[in-house]
Amino acid sequence: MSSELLFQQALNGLSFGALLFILAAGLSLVFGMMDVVNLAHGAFYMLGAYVALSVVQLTGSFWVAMLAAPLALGLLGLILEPLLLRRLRGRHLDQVLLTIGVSLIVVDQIGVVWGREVRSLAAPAGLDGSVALFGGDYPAYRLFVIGLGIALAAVVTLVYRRTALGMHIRAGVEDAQMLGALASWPRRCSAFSRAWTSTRSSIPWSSSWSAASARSAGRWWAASSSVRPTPSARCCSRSSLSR
Amino acid sequence: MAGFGKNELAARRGYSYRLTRRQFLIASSAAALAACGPAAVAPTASGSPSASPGKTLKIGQLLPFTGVYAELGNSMRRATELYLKLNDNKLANRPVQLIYEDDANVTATGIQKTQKFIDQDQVDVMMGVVPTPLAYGIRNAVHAAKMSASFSSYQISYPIGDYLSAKGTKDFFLAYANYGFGTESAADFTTGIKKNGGSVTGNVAPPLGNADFAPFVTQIKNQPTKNVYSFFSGADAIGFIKTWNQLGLTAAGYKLYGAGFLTEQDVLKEVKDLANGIVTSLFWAVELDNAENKKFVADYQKQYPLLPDVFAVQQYDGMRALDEALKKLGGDTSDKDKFSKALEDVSFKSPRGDFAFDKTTHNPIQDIYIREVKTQGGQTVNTISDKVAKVTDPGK
Repeated sequence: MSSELLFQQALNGLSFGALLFILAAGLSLVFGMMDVVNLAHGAFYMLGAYVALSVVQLTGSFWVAMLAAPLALGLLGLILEPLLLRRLRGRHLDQVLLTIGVSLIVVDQIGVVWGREVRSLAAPAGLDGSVALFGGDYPAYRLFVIGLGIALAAVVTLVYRRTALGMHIRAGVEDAQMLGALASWPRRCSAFSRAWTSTRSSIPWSSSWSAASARSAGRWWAASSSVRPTPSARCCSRSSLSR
Repeated sequence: MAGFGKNELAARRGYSYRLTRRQFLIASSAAALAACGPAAVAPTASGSPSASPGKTLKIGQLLPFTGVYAELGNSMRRATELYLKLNDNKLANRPVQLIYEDDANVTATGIQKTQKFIDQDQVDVMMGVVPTPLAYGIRNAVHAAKMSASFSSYQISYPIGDYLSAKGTKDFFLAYANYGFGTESAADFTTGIKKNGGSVTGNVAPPLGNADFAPFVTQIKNQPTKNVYSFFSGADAIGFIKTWNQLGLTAAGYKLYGAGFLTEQDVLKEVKDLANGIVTSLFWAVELDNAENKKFVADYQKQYPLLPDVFAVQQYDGMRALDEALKKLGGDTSDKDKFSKALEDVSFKSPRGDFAFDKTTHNPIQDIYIREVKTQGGQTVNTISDKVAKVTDPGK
């Protein structure tokens, strides 16, 4: 294998990895922090991609979509948390049932509203070209995805380790009950983090990874996470957050 | 009669193998027909049983409405409804009731839905069955004598291999979706080019419903053979063509060929002029110049705000074949052997040209067109550059 091929394939791996990281970061937060098994995560991701598609069609701007889609999904998270999930604290199996139901509804409604055919978004101007790297051309948009993944990881780490909010989240992960006894934080905190994770799951990836692959990613999530729902996966996400 | 037959055992357990035994499949890989005889309805008293004119004909449509081939299902549904609309919702003398089920491109789901058609809906005829593995899967439930209104991989991929290599383009790199039909297409294409001294220099085979094509296209770009033959369809085709362009393969001198599904309307309406220059082979194209096709395309566009694609044509022909066979029998589907014989003998003028089934393979005998994608007057379409006449499957 030539070094050029190795380099390009490494970039391909990194950019797809960055995409999965951004998708998974929200899931692991909602899992570790709120102890919620959210199988609708993939469906929210998909919904975000479709909202972004509509915003792009309306405004013509990828960047507006990148802002609007997370906000719309965050709002949905803020509504769903008190309405549905708060009642099921600690009841994992019920959460699984509920969130699978939510994901089925979301996916079907997307079919009704946006249709079932494959859709895709073009990369925004400036990112739709290629960059010459080590003699080979590489799509700028994929480099942008890698950059965004790294930036997001940095911001999350910073918030989590260095801010008061992060401290409360960590405390909540360790012992939510004690934190509740000390202050009224967890409730607000959970609603916030719920909204925040829905927000994150919906950053419009879509461009080269089309809304359709969001669709399949959503299904992939539902499938793979339902295979191994609670204990081990939960431990993982806890330890990765509270390491 | 001694001992327990499979059916008696089944009856004790509350299953109904007896029903399934009478079922009859006339179907295969892509867009096909199947006829089933519900035992609970058919065997009335002597004389002419279920032939009573006007009795509702139930057609079970097993199509993918979600997953990688979702758009195929939608397209076939549109064609079915168009055909019925143009024929007063009747086939022969019988009013039609359609029942749709989504196989989601999952074999297990498809088998389960087939069972539902048989036990619960008691359909007379079953149509659809897009994915190859599913066609194999339901052969146990629905008795086997398949009748395909579509194509075999050989009919699409062998002629273009033969054609291109005879014209002097001999060396190819292959890229195909790694599942039954994709692998078969690659093998048939290889047979075609080898006939004229061509060769295959290598291949990549992403899984069906692949999420990211960049690693595969990168591999193509890092090998020297400039001509690439591919088999992708639906969402895969869109992903492949987009990535092909993102990584600048056309600019680097690579040329893309493929089985016609690569550039059907469901794909072209998303990738548009990115597909320009791709050469494919198929038994039909929107641009095909014959009276039936012009009428079909016009009717379709009157009904729906888009151009028909090849899957619509298959389904339309499937409905027509069913219609013709039923007419010959006066609408009587009770005798499965007669019904299958009638289907076998059907011939008519279809949008793709003359349509008839090959008696041995039950695939249509058809012309294959060599097509090139061009953008003309704002629309990206397959223009026809050549034709390979009367291709039959050798029934390997």
